[in-house]
Amino acid sequence: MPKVKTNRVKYPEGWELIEPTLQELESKMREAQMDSHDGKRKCETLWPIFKIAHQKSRYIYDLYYRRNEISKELYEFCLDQGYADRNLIAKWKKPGYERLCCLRCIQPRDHNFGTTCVCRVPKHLREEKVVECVHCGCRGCASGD
Amino acid sequence: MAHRLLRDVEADGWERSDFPIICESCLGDNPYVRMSKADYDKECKICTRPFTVFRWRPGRDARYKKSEICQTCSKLKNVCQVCLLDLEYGLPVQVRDTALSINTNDAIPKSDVNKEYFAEEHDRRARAGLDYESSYGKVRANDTILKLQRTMPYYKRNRAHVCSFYIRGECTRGAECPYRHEMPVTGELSQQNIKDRYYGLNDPVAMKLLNKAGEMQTIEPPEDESIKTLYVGGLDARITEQDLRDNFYAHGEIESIRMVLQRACAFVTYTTREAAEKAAGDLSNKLVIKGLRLKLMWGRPQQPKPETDGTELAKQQAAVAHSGMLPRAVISQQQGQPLPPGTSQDQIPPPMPYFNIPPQPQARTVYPSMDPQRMGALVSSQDGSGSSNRPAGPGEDKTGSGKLPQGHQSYATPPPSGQYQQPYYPPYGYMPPPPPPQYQHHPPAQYPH
Repeated sequence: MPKVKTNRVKYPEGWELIEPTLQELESKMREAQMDSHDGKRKCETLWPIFKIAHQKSRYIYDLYYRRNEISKELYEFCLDQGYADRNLIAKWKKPGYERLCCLRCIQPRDHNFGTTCVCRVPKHLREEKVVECVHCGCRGCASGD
Repeated sequence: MAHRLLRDVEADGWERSDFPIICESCLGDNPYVRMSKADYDKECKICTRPFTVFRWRPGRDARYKKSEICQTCSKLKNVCQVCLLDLEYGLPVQVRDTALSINTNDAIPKSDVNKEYFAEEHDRRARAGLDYESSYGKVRANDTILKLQRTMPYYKRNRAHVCSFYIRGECTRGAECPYRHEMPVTGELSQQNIKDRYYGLNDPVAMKLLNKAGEMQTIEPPEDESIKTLYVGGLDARITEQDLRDNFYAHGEIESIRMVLQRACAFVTYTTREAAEKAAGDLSNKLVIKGLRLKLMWGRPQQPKPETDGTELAKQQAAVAHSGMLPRAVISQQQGQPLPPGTSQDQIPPPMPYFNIPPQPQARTVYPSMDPQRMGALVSSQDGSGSSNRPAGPGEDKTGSGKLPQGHQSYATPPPSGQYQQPYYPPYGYMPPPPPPQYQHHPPAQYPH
C-alpha cells in the first residue's frame, strides 16, 4: 500500500496548562448534547449548547487577549482544533459586541424586518426586562449591561 | 422555490392586497406600527382561499395580531379582517344585522364548494369594478344601533392570551413568560366559533348584546313636575358649552347651560318641562359627543334622595360584564352613587340649584390615544419626571406611573385579577437617553497651593 500521510497532532508548549480546563469544558458539552429533551421547550433544548460554546471560546479569548497567558501559536492551535469559535471571537474584538452571545443573534436574515435579536437591546431601552432570546437563551448581551 | 413559478395574477383566484381592512381597536394605539406582509401566507378562515396575511403588534402590551379572513370575505360583511366586528360600529355581525334589519345571509352560501365559488365570483366582479353592491354604506343608522355602538377603541382584546401552563400551575417560565398569568374567564360567552360569528348565526355575544338592548329603557321623568334640568355626565375638557348647545337645542329652548368641569358634568335647563322630557327621551342612551359617550339623567333639587332605578342599576351591572361595552362614565357613576351628599356639597358653589353630582370619574384621559404625551409629543415637566424616575430602578416605577396623568390608567393600574403590576412605559417614539452613570464621589484631594 502506498504510504499515507497522516496528520498527527503536535501540541505546542503551554498546552498542559490549559488542557484540564478545556477537557472539562468538552465533557460539559458532551453532557449537554446527551441531555434529554423532557420538560424543555423545543428551542430551549439547544440553549446549553450555545452557552457552553460561548464559554469555551470565552476562555481561550480571555487567555490570549485579556490575560496574555498563552502564546500566539497555542492560541491559533486551539482555534484550528476547534476548541473555540474563530468567528465569534472576531466579533468580540469589535466595539459594542464584546459580550455577544452567539452569531445567530446578530444575523439580520434570521429575524423579522431585518433586525437583530432582542437580547442585543440594552435593558434600559427594552420594554420587557426579563427576556430569554429564542436562539440561545441569552438574557442580554449588549455591552452596556 | 415553488412560489417563484407562480404567475403575477393568480388565475386561481388567490387574493393579494396592499393593506388590511381593520378596525381601530385591532390596529392599536401606537402611531408607529410596523407591519409585515406575506403574500398567500394562510388560507382565509371562511372561504379557505389563500390571501395576503398582515402581521403587526397593536401596542406595547399587545400580542401580535394577524389578518384572519381575506378581504373579499371582509368586504362582503363589512367587518374587520381580524376581529370580525363591524367596521363602523364595532358590533358583531348578528347584532348589526338585526339592528339594521339587513339580511344578506341567504345570498351567501356556506357549504364547501358553493362558498368558494361564490367568493371567487364576487372577487372577480369586484376587481372588474362592476356591480359592486355594498349595502352597508347606504343603510341609515337607527336608534338601536347608535345606542349599542362602541364609541372608543377597546384595546383589552389585544392582550396576550392566557398562559395555559399557569392554569394548571405548571408555568416554569416565570417572569419571562409572555402570556398572561390570570385565570381564564369561562362561561357561555367563551364558546365562540369564527364561522358562526361571521355569518351571524348563534353568536352568544350577539345574543347577550341584543338582550341588553331590549331591556334598555329611557329614563323616567321625575315625579316633581318643576324639574326641567338634565344632568349630563362623563364630560371631558374637549367638550364645550357650544357642543352641548348644538346637541340639545333641537328639543326645545334652552334656558341655561351650566358646566361643572371639576366634576366633569353639566346641567342643561330647558324653559319648558316638555322640552326636557323630549330631550331625555331622544338622547337618553345615545348621547355621544366627540366620540365620548355621555350619561344623561334628570337633575335633582338639593334635597338628595336615595338613588333611583334599582332596576337600571342592575341592568347596567349586568352589562358591565360584557367586555366593557359600557362606557367608563357610567361605571364610575354607578360606583359613585352611594356617596353621602355632604362631601360633594362642599365643593360645589352654593348657588348651584341642582344637586345630582356623583364624585369625579376616575379617568380624565380615558385612552392612551387621547393623551398627547403618549403620541410622541414631549411634555417637558412630565418627561423630566419620567426620565428622572427611571434610573432609580423598578422599585420606583410605581411612583413614576402615579405622577403621570390618569390617561395611563390602562397601563399603570393593575388588572383586577392580575398577579403583578403593569410596568411603566415611556411614551411611544422617543426614548430619552439614560443619565450618564454616576461617578464615584472622589474626595477632593487637598493640594497645597
